[in-house]
Amino acid sequence: MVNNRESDSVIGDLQELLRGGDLPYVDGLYDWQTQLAIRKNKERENTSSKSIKGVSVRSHSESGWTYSSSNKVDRSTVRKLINQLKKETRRSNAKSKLALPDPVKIDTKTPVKKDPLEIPIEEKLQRLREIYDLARQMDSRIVDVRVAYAETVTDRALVTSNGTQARQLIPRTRISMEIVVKEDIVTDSDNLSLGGTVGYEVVDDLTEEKISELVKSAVEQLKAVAPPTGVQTVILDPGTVGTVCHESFGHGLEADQALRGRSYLKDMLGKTVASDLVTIYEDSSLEGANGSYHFDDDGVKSRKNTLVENGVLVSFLHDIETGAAMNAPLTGSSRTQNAAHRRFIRMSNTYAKPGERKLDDIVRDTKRGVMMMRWQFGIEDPLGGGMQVVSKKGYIIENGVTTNPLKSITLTGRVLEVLGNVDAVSSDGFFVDPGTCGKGPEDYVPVGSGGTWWRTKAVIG
Amino acid sequence: MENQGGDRMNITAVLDKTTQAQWEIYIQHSTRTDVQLRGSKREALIRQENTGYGVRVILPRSGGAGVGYSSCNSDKDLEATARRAHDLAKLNRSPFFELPAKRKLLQTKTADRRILTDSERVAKDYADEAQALISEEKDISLTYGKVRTYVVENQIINSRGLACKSVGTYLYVEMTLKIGSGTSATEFWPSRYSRRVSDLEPTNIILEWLKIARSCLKRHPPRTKQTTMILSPAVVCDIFVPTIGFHSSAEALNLNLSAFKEHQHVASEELTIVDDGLYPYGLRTNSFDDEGQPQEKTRLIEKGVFKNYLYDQLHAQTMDAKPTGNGIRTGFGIDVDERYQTIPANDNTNLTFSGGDQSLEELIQDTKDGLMIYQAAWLNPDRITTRFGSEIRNAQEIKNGELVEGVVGGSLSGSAFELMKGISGISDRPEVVSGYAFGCVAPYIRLEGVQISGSS
Repeated sequence: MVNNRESDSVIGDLQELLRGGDLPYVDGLYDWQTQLAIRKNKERENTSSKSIKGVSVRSHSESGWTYSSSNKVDRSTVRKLINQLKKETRRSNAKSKLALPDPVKIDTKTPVKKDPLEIPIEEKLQRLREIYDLARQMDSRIVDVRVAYAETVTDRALVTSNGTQARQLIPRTRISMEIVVKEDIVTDSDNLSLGGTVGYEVVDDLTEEKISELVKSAVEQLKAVAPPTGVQTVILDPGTVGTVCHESFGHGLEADQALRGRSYLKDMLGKTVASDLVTIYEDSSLEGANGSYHFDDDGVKSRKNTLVENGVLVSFLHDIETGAAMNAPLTGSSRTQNAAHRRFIRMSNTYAKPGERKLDDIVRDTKRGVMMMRWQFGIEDPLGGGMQVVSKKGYIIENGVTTNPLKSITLTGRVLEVLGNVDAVSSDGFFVDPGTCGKGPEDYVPVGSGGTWWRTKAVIG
Repeated sequence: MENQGGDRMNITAVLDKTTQAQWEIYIQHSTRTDVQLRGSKREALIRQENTGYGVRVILPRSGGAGVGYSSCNSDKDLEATARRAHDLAKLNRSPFFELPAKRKLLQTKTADRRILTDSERVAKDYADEAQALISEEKDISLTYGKVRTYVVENQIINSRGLACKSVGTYLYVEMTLKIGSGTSATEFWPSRYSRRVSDLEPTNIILEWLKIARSCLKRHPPRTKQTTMILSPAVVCDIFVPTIGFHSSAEALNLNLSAFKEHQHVASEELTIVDDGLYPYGLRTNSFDDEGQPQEKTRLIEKGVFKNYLYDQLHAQTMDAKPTGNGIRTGFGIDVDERYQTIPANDNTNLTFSGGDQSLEELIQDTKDGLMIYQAAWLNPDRITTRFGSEIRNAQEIKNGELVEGVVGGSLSGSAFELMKGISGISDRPEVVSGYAFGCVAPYIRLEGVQISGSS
């Protein structure tokens, strides 16, 4: 997919320079991200190409992690970074305790159906123009259509002082669309994003039917009203369910927060934390999903972890530091945005297991409530045990039927209450949405989140 | 390409030869020191050095614009990046505009001598002092913290002979303060950027954050109601910067999306806002914007009346207006030293709110029943509709002019532009502030009739 001569050379340098040190543990991470991005709206077209490299070396001692990084990836820079690190770690004269995985040698890449690099840029731009034109003529109230396409390849290698040499090439392709509509003085919009660790085939998934639904939905928002406020029965769509899982038992189970005394779930392993209808997975090996990878940035193979099983808390997410400190098996959850950032415990693809009821049946069975759809963003509260999830749209449910459209719905509440209140989980509609996740307000990594439809009770505003 | 010494001739020669069109190169060189804390210990020390650039090529007839970003610093790579940008430009259709020519620039204050002299020492000393101050508290503890310093050099060169360069510093502080203990614990999790240490002196900001944390030791969830609310400067920043910034942009006007019209009443009379690209030590202060155009002060809202739009190069030329220095490189998740990876967008510099004539204490004393909102989880309003909804993370009830018990939970929601019409008081000391949004000098603002959703 990409020229790997330079990658091989940096990996070779790292291997040689890390060898024979007298430090407990040192590793080096090389990261090269290339991207083609195309955007089109009513005003203009933009195409950009990105090639960002970096190398980061780190060591661990009783005085914590020390990182040195640079986006110069030549041998003399790598040598300088490692020497600086060795000097400092020796000076701290302390031992560290890490749960190091067995060393591995891997060189792998994620296969895709349609390699974006084999498709001319002209063809991609033309496709975006067609999508734009198609949507634009669907309704006279459309004032702008924004279409964005991005293909990214992450070429990442990890070399450790105990012998791991792992390299992975991960393509991520994404297409997103926003329809902006206006009637009199009311302006609104709706949006859609498709993507994952997939190739150009994702563009084919943005069908005329999906575009038409999006246009109708945006137009419907012109008449939508604010949601009722206070505690409500709420039915969540699969993307919103995934975000609830992500913000509640995803962030809450990142074990670095537990070590800091910053997790309300710290002493709840084996205890009931949700309705017995709730089972949540964290799966970095899920084929095609946005958050998938082959091994994490500690060199641990990707895997499917169960976080909550039938309402019982099963596992935290770990890296090599928390695995040692909490004597727990590694979960392959160490990730970084790129070589300029620190590695943290992060989620990959977080989703809820499907249930047994049909969505239609759940709606029919709801006397009064709110349906929440098209999640926009969410945020965690790892110590306080709260959460916030915001969705673009929804509907009032009255006597088992969806009625008036709603706009901008915010769900908040205590995680244990909201997930304890889940009384219905659908078997249909399973979907994992692509997204991006920060550790707090920064350090963004690609993730997926999803599930099927849930019904619960929460504060709506 | 060795840009640190400004080897301009070589860059110009390579780009002239490769593109044979209008070009612009934006170069950033930065050093960053990040000290991360766990309780009374250091969790991580991160040092980073970063150089990168973005090349934009604009073709004369089609207006096609192609962009290449790279972190590889060689002439060969520069040539390849420029060629790629040129190839991409040939595919595009966009309105043509000229890049700025050389102009006289005003001096601005963007760098702190202390950070310039020894940025690593500043970060470590700040972290030590913050830990010491927090350790004196009985019921509040530090679980996690970040103290980060940056020295960032920005340089723009273009094919019209423009060459400008500036150096800026930043300090970023983020603390998670655990309030109480056991299963009833909660936290206050503030963060803020500044240009200089004196704007975030630990003896001011850390003590202020501790005071807010203490106010939530006793707390209750809110009830569902409409109420009077005083917003902290950080909350003002998060609600109003993305919304006023977007609707004041020439881009929003051009797309028929702006809710503002010139000379239209858009807010209460108390509200006056200037987009001030020259504000001393403002987070988006600079002599020139990210296209090389001089930054300036533009009146946006005066006594509640909308006055002017903000223009970057493209919109100024295509809409026959004067550029206001509002071509800004920014993007979701893009840090101050990663801006070379973005394309200039039509955005605000520092939205600077005029202070009112009451102190914060007087604003509180003048409030019979309401809420002081210190922090919401993530407001992130829809910039087109300006609607928002967010969990209340740290607030305090106001009863008969006094701050009483803490309020945590539930949510506040509404439309930013509806709220602007219900302003009933503004405090007298605006401050350089950041939240999730960036580029704001804000006071405390009191609003009437804000919707709260709670447990009952």
